[in-house]
Amino acid sequence: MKSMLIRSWSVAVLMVLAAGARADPAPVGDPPRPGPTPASQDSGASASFDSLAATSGVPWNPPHAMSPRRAWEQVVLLPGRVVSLPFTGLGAVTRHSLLYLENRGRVPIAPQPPRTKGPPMVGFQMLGLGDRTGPGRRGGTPLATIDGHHAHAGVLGMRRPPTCTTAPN
Amino acid sequence: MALAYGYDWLPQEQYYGVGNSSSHDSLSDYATQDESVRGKFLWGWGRDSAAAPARVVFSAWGGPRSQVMRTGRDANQMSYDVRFPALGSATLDRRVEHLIYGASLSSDWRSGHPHWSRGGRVAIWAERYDVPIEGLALHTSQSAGQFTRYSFETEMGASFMRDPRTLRLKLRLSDVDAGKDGGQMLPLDMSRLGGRDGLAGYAPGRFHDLDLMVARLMYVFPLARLVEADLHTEWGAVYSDVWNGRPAEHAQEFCSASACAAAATAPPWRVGRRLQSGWSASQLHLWRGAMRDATIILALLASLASTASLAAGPTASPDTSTKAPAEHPYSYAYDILDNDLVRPVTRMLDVAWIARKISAHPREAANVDDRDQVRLPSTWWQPRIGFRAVTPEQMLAGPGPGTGPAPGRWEVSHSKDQGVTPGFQVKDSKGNKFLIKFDAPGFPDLATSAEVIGSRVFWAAGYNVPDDAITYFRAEDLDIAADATYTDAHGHKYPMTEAYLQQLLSRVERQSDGRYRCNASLYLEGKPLGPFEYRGRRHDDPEDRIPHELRRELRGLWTVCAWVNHADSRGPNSLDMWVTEDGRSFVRHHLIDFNAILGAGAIGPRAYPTGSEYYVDFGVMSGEVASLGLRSFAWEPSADPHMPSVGFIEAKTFDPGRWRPDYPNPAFDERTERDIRWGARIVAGFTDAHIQALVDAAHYSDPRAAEYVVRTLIERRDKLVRRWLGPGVTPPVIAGR
Repeated sequence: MKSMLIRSWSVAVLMVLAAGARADPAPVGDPPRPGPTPASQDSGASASFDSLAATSGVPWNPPHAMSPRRAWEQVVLLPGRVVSLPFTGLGAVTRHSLLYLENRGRVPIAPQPPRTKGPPMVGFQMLGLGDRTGPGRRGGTPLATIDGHHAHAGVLGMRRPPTCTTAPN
Repeated sequence: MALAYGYDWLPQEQYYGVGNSSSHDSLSDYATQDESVRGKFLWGWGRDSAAAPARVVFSAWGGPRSQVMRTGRDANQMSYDVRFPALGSATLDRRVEHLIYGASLSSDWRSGHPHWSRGGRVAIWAERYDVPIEGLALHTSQSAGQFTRYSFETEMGASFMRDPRTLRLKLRLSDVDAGKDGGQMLPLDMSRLGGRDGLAGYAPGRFHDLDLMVARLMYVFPLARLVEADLHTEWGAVYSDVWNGRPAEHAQEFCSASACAAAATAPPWRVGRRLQSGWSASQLHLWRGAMRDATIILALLASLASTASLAAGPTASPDTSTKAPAEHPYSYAYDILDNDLVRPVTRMLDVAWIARKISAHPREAANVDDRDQVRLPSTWWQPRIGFRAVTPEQMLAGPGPGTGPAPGRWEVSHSKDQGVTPGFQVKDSKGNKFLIKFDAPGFPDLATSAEVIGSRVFWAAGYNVPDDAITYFRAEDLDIAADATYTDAHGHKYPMTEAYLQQLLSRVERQSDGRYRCNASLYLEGKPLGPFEYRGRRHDDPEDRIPHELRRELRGLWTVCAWVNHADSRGPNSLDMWVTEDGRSFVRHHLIDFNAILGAGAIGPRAYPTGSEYYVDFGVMSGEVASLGLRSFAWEPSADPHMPSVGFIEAKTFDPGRWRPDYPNPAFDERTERDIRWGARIVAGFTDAHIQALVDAAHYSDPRAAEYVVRTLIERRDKLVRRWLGPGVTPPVIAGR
């Protein structure tokens, strides 16, 4: 009985929302018909309509900035926005962090420039995280190149926690 | 040949005793110190190319190893010397050494893409743990038990369907000949199962004994463009003697499923971790790792979702100042993350959107009049083809002369620091600045032709674009400006050198006569303000009062993009400019970067799924999961023209009703049938003569390629027009000419 009530309530809410959607006074008109319908030219527009070049006229705009949502949409979305507010900061941090990393080349968005210098004398890199291995570091330095063959010295170390992946048996 | 020294400290290894019947309650742990010196000789042959790995490899190795077992360091577990006193008294704190030597031979004839789907590999090896040689011993010449391990491993695979669904069978067998000296074998030297050693559903080190045999049956199938899944089952056991054991009675079973990113194309990002869940011995275990991953991902999605919803929230009153808006910082990675992963999920929670879907009342474009036409003037779009007569000559002239740099020498001023293709900025002999972009090696004409065709198509369709032209030059025609710089992978700037320029040119396609073919894109006039977004508004632009996802020009752009397969239509490929014309300063909105349209990807041909699914397409993935990969993808019946200068584009499987860009575009997602039909009217305005002129301007060096592109564009146009403007309508009539 309880579940039926909940279901009925849900349907009712959706019906109300759907009615709101129907009442949406979005600008509508007849579907476009095949044929040479001219593009709209509002009064006050620049005289450059006949030109194929981009216009420099003042663009058509509504009197006020539009919201992407109708009023009824904003009302029904308000609870969700309130609930998700605590996550907003994290989302913004993600965005700015990615931007920061891109600007510093940590996230590649540009073609890698050709290497004009040799590899660094000492380099470090993260080790792959495999089964039972924690984070580690690998370091090394090239020693010499003889007839196309490279000699390299390095050291690696990683933490190996005992059971990081498995379920009990 | 290599010489290596190794030192391992393993503080918390697990040991349950010997045999398959060891109890889970007998868990103990031990620590080991392991030190070794090893010389290795490796010889391979049978390479497919100079850079390819050898198909057949022989290796031999040898060297001393010293090992000592210590008390386990896990405070929550009983140490092995307490749980197994006999083993403890024989091994605890006693350093032992071996001289280890062995050899292996392997043959690998696997092939396939994106995962190996045909062939197999076989490897056999033998390794002797012998009495140490006193002169070579690391610490002591005291030996533990000597033994020899013989191992055999083979793996075979076969696939079916075009995007390979692959069945693989893997078998591993290890046989230890312990000899008769009676020495104690340390747990770490035993054959082990559990974790990564095999039977992954069991804890690492769950089973120990002399021998082992384990088999794995795997089914790998694609879920979407960049994601594939595998279902596998493992079956195996440890034995005191594998040849006399009875595997059917002792075998442990394990099943699991996992999903991981496939490298089917060159993706802009990769899913770094493999998510797994599995069950062993018929009992379901959801791995803690998978739980942790899922929690992190859900938290991330939720956090980003809230940002997304706020970004589309109420807008502030416009700033009425006339000063130039600030440059808009735009994160490429966030754009993909948000639009391909977060927004599709959060949309399912959008009650208003669901209500509109149910009532079949989507929100129509906001900047149209009562005839459903774009209100003008617009700084986004100017009516051209489809709305007025545009000759092929006018189209080819585009926004500028369309002639490229003036004859003479070019001065290189900076490397290209955005996008994935190499390039640089030049100033021609008249002082005009151009961005120079190239074709990738092995794909002549591909990207440069796409760029020129794209800029003409979108200009003729009414959008603001840069002036692009195909140009040729020689390396000797380049001068490096005194203040020229390039930016390295870490964002640091360096002076540009001749060596840098030569290396850059060595990475691009070169003509047989030594010239370089490139696309020269004239710099847009004005001050760059960064890309625009396909949703929301630029709040510091007083003339930007309509949310972009409600703009007809951006929604209807979908139709034009579908026609020419502009799957790269996204925010980062746009640019706002602050321009001053006729005494007025304002923001003009441009589309840029068309080198990844038609059959071109930025650095090679388009992947087959382009246009039929997103990078991560939840709808397609759901269908594939439900059918275990047996449902055919929409692109699979397509035919690849196999022309390097065309890449991959075709008309046969082009579905004008459900074409998709690489990842969701917010304005495209809001499109309605009216928006699509508005765009279809523009597409219909391109006559066969226009299309032929477009392709002529691209200067394909292969006439077959030019003919193929013309034919494909005509067929795609006709399909699109019939779908959206009616089956009985032919394009020239629609165009109203």
